Amino acid sequence: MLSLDRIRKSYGSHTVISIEEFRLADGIYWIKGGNGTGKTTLFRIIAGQTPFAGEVDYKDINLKKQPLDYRALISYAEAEPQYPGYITGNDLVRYYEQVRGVPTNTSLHLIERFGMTDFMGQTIGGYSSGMLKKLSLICAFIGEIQLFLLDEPLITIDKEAALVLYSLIREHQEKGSTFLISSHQDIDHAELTVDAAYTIKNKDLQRC
Amino acid sequence: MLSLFLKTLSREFYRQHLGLLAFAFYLLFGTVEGSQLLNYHLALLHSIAASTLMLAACCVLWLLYALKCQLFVNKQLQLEQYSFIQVSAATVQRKQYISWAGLYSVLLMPVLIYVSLVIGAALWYHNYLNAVIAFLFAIAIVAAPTRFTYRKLTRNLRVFQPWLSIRLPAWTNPQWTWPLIYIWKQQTLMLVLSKLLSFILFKAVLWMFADVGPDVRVAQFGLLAALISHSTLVIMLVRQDAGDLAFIRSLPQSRFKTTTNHIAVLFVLFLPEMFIYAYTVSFDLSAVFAGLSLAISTLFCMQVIQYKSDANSNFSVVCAFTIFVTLAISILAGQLFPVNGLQAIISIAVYNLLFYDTDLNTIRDK
Repeated sequence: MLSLDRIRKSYGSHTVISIEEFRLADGIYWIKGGNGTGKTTLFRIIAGQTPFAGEVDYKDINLKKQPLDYRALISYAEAEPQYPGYITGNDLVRYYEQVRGVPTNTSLHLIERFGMTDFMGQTIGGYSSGMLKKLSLICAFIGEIQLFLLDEPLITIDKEAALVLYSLIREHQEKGSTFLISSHQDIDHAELTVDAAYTIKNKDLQRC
Repeated sequence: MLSLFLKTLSREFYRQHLGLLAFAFYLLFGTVEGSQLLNYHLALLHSIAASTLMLAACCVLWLLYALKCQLFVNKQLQLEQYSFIQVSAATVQRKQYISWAGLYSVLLMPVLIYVSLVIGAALWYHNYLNAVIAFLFAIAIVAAPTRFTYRKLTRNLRVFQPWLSIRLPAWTNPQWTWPLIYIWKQQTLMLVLSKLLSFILFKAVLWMFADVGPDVRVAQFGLLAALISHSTLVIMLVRQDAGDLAFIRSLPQSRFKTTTNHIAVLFVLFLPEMFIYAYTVSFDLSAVFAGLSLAISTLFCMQVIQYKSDANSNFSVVCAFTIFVTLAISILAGQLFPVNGLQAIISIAVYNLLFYDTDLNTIRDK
């Protein structure tokens, strides 16, 4: 279960997120909301990428008190992934394999499924936005992840890649993983069954 | 337009280069006894004004500073937060030239003031050739970067082939080496310039105190000057960490590993200077170890300051100045080990304690 308690996040005097208490059981959840409502900020909070006030726990592991144990369980794919342009896709994937503690080359099947095999030796600076997004999704699925935070995973990728993504989500859900997916685009309900949809209204998460 | 350039580019330039300017100020005014200061500077001005060779040597140094200014502006213009400056290309040509010339005049102010003094001295001693050379040089170092920046902004659709492209053999680069690759591949000119400045300042200190005789403190002062020359590279490393490498914060990589990675990068970056320093102190183990502790603890401290400094405060400026003065005193007092030990402990503790509380967005947007 994911627990958020007394979460506050402000930029200067402007409060973006204010959640008193929020609990989420395992499943697949769709986070909706217009531009600037705080979806990415919420994801960055849960991913431990930005400082905030309050407590975040996943499966009774606290983000602030057990930062490494918590981060070992979660994976965050950003809406607009930013990686060093001077390294190759292989460099990045090797690093993820190393930091996630999985044997080298275990992610080859992910690379093949997303059709990225031919581009992994190239430097990331030469990637198109779609290729960059696919690379970030490959990295997100490396390791034994229990909570996936996918921020706008469908933007810039082609239909084939979207189908691969849906199938990966289904496979990991069957293993017991939880997904928080933010998307402006409608999720294809024929491909993916969402347990619930939430929206950020007045800085708080509310069920749609 | 000029006031906008001054508020953004000029302010950031002086913020980043305060350490270097403070060191230059110290070399010019702090190393000479107070009673001899005026005579010393008059003699220095006379020697530059009287000898074309001496003037040429000074011009090389000033040119290096001008190049640093130009590279700084070039680098800033590539950042997303300075993209608004691209709009200036829409204004009339004359206004653009005046604004850029105004900006470079402010950035080059220390050099232009000294060149003016040299021109005055050359006229006073009737050395009109040197006066003309210095005058033309002053115009050139403002006009050249002005023209270059104007062309860069107005003709930015041209594809330029890199003039320096060194291919490294293909292998999987471990994560700790990524910042080094970044500096090597994407900040090549800045690296070359910083290293050049670093070697020149190191040698300048050795020459300045040549009459003192063999004293390890002179070499340590040289090392301190070389360290200050690396401030821009350290800022580049921090920006890179807060930008393209920010994704690492959501991965299970320990703070200890991140700290050792940073230290390894700084060590490799400063290796050439360390070798020259070791050679200067005749590979005396105690002196080499003292120099190494000075280098690593100071570079890491400079890095931590950048993580903690706010865009709108003078925190980094005050910190840099305090550290510079403290280190200078500790070198003179022969107390480098305890001061560096303390500096290292405080830097590592602050970095690790505030690791997850540092908002990388604010660093990226600075």
